[in-house]
Amino acid sequence: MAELTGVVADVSRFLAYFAIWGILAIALNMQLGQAGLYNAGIVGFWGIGAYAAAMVVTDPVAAGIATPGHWGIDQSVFPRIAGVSTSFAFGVVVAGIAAAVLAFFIAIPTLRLRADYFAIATLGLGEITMRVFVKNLQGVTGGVYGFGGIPRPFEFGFETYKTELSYFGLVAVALLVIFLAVERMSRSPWGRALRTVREDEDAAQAFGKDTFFLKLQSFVFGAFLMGVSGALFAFWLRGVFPPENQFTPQDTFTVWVMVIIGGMGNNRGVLLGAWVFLFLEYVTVRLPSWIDIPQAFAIKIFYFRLIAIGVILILIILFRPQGLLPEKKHVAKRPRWVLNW
Amino acid sequence: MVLQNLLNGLVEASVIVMAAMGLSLIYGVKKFANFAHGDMMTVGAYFALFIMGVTGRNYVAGILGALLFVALLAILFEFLIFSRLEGRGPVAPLVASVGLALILQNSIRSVWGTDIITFGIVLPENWAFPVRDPLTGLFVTLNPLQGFAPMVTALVSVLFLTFLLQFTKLGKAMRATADNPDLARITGINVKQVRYVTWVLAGLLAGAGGIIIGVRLTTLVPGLGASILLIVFSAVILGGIGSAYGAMLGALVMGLARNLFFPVAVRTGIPEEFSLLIPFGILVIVLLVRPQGIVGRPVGFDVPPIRAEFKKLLHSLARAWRRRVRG
Amino acid sequence: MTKARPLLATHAVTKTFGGVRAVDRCTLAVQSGTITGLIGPNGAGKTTLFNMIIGLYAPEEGSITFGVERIDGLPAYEIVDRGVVKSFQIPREFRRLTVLENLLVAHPRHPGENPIAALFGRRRVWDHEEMIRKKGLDMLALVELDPLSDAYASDLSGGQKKLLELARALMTEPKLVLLDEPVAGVNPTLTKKLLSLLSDLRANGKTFFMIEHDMDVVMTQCDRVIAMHQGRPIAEGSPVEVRRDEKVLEAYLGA
Repeated sequence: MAELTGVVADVSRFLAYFAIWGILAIALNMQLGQAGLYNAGIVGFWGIGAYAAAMVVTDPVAAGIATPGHWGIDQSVFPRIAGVSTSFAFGVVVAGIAAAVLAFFIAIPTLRLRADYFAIATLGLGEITMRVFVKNLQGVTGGVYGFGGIPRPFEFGFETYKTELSYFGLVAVALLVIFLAVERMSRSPWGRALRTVREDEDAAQAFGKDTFFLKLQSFVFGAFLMGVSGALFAFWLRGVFPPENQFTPQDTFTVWVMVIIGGMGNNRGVLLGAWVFLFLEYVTVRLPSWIDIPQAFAIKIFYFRLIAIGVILILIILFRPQGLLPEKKHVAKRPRWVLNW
Repeated sequence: MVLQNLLNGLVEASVIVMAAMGLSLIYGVKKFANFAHGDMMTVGAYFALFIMGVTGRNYVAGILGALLFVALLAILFEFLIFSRLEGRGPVAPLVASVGLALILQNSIRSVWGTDIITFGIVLPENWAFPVRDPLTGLFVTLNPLQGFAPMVTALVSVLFLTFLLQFTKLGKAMRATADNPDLARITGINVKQVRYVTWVLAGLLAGAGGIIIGVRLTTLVPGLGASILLIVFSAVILGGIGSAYGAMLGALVMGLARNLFFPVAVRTGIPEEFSLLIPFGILVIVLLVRPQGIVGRPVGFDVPPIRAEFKKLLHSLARAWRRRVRG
Repeated sequence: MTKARPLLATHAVTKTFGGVRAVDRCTLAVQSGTITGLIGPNGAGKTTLFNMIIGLYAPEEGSITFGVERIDGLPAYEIVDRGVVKSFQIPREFRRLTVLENLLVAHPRHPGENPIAALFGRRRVWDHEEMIRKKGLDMLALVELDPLSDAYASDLSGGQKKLLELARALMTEPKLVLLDEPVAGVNPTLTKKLLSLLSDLRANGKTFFMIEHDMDVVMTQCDRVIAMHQGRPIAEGSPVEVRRDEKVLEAYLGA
């Protein structure tokens, strides 16, 4: 019985992890797959979201001997519904807004740059956000130590499997809602206008599209979703730790891999890309404990996986740039529920 | 005058310039930002270590072997990957180079693991110059291996590259190809050859750069090259991407700027960690204000000034508001 | 004969590219309700002039007026909003959109083209969408592309893409249409149909300003012709007048 609960906890944790990255992939798909924005500063938005949410759901901690302390909000201000604190909902929303605001300011000077310059600029700005500011604002963010102790919405004490399973349920619902919302937005006239910006920005302008504004909308909205993902990630990890090992450019490129291999412009495709990447990781990490492999080899599988991912990325770019699940022909259909106002 | 910092800045600039020149060459001729450049440097450093390991600390063999290896790899990359991506714009090869970086870095990890490895050299003693730094009161020092050697290598490389580009037929062919490949082809230049030669040069410079970094740090980690990639990009863009001279200039400014920041930090009390802000900050400012860099190579697209961007934003918001009001 | 206020007028507009004056203090006017031809040897600056009128480039000197309003310096989408549109000489279709989508996206002032409407879907948006869908299909029928409405625009042939360019331009509900060689590469039967379409539209009040090299088309279709050479107009008048103009002959023979 204990083994079963252990497995449930483990699998739930993994599935929640997948959902968190899935949201990131969908967000990047909106920016990259639809509008053609090569955002290489994803970790800036993800990280800001994580830190913002972390601060909303934890009490502030003053600087002490072992810790520089960090900002927070006195948790007693949040009402509780059915025994669950509403601070989590606030945390997620604040995270999204924080990331969206950051995106707004980053967008204005960078949107006019061509795709590769845009990538470099956003890479630099993302690094500045995380590496310089977050890491060095000691009293605010916990500096190089980060901080832990972030609670989960549903805590079940020693019954970890319940905690993990319930959290997975929550994140799965979030993923579903976001997926449906973004699919709906993609099939709308707005999604269509975005795609013209991706295809040929000058022609789009010549036929009446305000391409700057469209790019801004896509960028900010995508960043909002990245912030939400960051919040969910902070809750999942129960902590935020500084960008030496976390929130690195590697993470940004991981999302790129998921979107490009999965299928740019296709939300199902990018989820598939996320799944392939993470499932491979799940398997290779656990393989040594399942079957007997010489110790030296076991460690190396980890790196072989990443080498394989690199090879696949190159092959996709060379021979199948549209990805595993290419973008389907969009039909702008009247959605089933439409507000009448 | 802050002499020690100035000297340190020159040394750091020497390191940056090795990578920056190669990166600029590739951008100029192959028209893309090579995100695998840092890892090519790392490969150079590790392979030198490997050769030294099997030849019993033969430094010459190590260096030459590493340079040769990286140059061959560069040829392989062009042959297998980048030659097929010609004409597909700047982003496709960029993404491919991201994949390549993954492959290179993790190949190194799979062979050597993630542990730090010492380069295993004995450091000679610092040279002391008969000048005192006014700030610290100490004699200005320079280490022959970690400080002087990189400067010499960088200087030699810079002079060599300048000579090549300015006075040789090959150099002129490279510049012509960077300027306008179709026109170059029509005038009889073997553009394919030029591309391969560019990769070889970039590979040699990257390999040498990696070895220098290894010597300066005396330890190797798989993330060696990748960690300075953003600083190198900053230098290249500051100078003017696609221009080798721009790269040299940008590297110089970048190396000096960071090191000259330290005395400023000491005087004004800004925490030292914010020194990282300098390369990234410069990058961002350049991209905002003058993306074509100091040298001002055409960037291939129109860059409206920032004020115009704000105006555009206000315009768009006003328009959207008017639409809502109109109903 | 007193001239009514022209629909479009340029005053001494200039544009330089790398030291070469592509358009050199060009002053001309297009009257409302006409099909006005713009001819001239290659390099005369015709396409550059069009790009400035539509707002893709801003003139360095001079001004451009549409109706009573100055439009030089405005972003392209504002100019399209005011009723000017340009079709591209080498078609620039949106490749990974369907043929129909290429048209739908050109229709102006769609209430659904913002993310809030996309997410919450007001009924107005979808009513508008259905309306322009019908319009789009009608337009495609006019250029005989309707069986391909669901194909990717990149799958069309060269001539079909030119038809798409024209249809897309018309979808923007323009008052003034700048056409850049609209029938090059289109088969003769369809060309005749298109040209008669242009005449009908002109009768309904649309104005066409057309770059064209095919002299037959110019002679039969255009009410007025302007000839450009080296960045400025050198002759203006009825097609017959301009064709006989010495300066024009010189320009073509010498160029």
